[in-house]
Amino acid sequence: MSNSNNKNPDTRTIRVGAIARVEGEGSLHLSMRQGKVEQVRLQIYEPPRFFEALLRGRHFQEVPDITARICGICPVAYQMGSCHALEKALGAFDAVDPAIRTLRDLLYCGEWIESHVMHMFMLHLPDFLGYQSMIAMAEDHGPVVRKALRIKKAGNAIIATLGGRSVHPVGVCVGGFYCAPDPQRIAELLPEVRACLDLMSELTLFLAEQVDFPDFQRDYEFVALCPDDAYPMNLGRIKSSKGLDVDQADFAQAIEERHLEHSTALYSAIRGRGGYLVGPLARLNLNAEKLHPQAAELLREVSGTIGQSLPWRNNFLSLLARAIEVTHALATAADILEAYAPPTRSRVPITPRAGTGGHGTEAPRGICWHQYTTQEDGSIAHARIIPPTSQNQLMIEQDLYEIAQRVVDLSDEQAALQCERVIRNYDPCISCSVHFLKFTRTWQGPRTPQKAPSQ
Amino acid sequence: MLSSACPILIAACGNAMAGDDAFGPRVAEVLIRKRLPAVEIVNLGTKPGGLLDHLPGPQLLLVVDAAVQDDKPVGHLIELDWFAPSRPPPAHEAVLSSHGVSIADEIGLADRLGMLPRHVHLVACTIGSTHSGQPMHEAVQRQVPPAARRIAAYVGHWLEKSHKP
Repeated sequence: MSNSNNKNPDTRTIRVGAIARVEGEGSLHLSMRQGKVEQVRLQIYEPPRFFEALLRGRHFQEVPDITARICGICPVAYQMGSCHALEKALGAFDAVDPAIRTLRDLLYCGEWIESHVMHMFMLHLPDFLGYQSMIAMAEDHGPVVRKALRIKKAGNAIIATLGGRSVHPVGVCVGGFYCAPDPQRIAELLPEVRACLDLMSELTLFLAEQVDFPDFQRDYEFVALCPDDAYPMNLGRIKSSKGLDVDQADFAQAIEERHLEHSTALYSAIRGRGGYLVGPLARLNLNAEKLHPQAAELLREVSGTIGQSLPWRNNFLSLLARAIEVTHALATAADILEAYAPPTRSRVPITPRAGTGGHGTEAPRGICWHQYTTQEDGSIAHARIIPPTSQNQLMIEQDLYEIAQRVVDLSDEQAALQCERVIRNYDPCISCSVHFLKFTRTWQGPRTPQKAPSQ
Repeated sequence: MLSSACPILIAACGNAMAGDDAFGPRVAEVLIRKRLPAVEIVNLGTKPGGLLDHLPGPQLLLVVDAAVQDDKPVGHLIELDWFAPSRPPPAHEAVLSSHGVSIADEIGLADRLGMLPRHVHLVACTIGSTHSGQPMHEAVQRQVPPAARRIAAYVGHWLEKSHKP
């Protein structure tokens, strides 16, 4: 939705109502001088929700259920981040059984499947195929949408099996799960997950073949968890494509969070370097060799189809990165379901103590890092949560700076649409990080014709 | 897996921790205690995008949600057929939902894919504040029991009608 104020030929303002198909509210202001972009500002105005303050004084075991409420789309990420960080604070991290860790991966598979598929096929794909909404797209691509919905449903079923329900699951606790899933239920899930794995491979190839990805190469610093032996979800050191390599606990020292006047969210940057990118593209570029074999095979096929091998530096390809990750998650989930035997215990006992622990896990949108300080009685003295969207905020602004220069000659409405597309590459979760988007563009000085965008 | 085997699906939407937006979940809590026959109640919470997980299957969908209607005071109960020509258009997604896919989008998509029940009924309450951590406005809270009663009555009538030859 946009409108213009073009009374003065030298200045122009484009306003776009709160952007559709991202989560949350805010505005984008582009300031143009002499036909060039002078300033890009994401003005975040959704009020902060003060979850970190809310947690102070609460018993540690309440934290996973409270943090799950930060986001309706990625509650598992908040639960996993809080559980791991608290287990470190409480000295129980190394005592967690491998079987519990495997179930945590299964739960995370469910969230990746559900969240990624919803974003890809309902929010992001309409951009690429030229539709205004998923409803319009469904008219022409009904079978694709139906398959996607079936896969999303399987993801939710996995979450419900382990979490008790798919919306704000309640089965997770510090130390493990309140109870282990019933083998009968697990057995019922397996055939559907396998069927969805085949469907996802089909859909991924459909995307690779049918979507025309705009050329938008950027020199990002990719940051992701990098475990030695598996594609990242819950564990691993935090590394980057430009040499960052830190233990989980030291992540907060490696980055800095800045408050900028125009935003209610904090901006993250690597100390001494600047912005960085987290999320599926970063994970894939840094960990492709650890994909499940079925996902790795699909990646080879997709890379051949689009004629680009890793690293992918074009964030529009995040659509394909998500598709590969969904395939990985479905294949991993199928393996875990097939091998499932109820664990000897569903959680390890936790003894309250004073301590501090920091840990991040890979939310669908990227690293979600938590740090807690507990007191002797197990209550929370301090909490800090760094969600993925606020970490990507600087990169979003830089991408917008680039794209804004390419849309000078476009109509207000088309320019706004191009900016929205860039933002949707990030699948931003403003509910989590407190932001997003209205669009204004002001012009100062004459507009100088510039090259039209490639897409 | 998640699809409902019951002929009636009641889907509540809203954030239980965000003031008046808790209307839907609160009505769902009351309805669960009523143990209505042939009914599945789901609290979609802040994830209305989960509606399609429960379709197709039911023949009647009842949506319970918060609403904004400028010409009505806070705490006004609205009940209407989703397909009624008189139904006002859904509020812009950003006004009431920050969850990417709104309940109106979900219903629209289900309709387009032929997954929507023939009967879709909306029960909503006009709201004021949706700030996190705020309690529900008293006028909204007062409408929770009447809304649950209206839904129970609607379900009763619908079952009676659908069992007539």
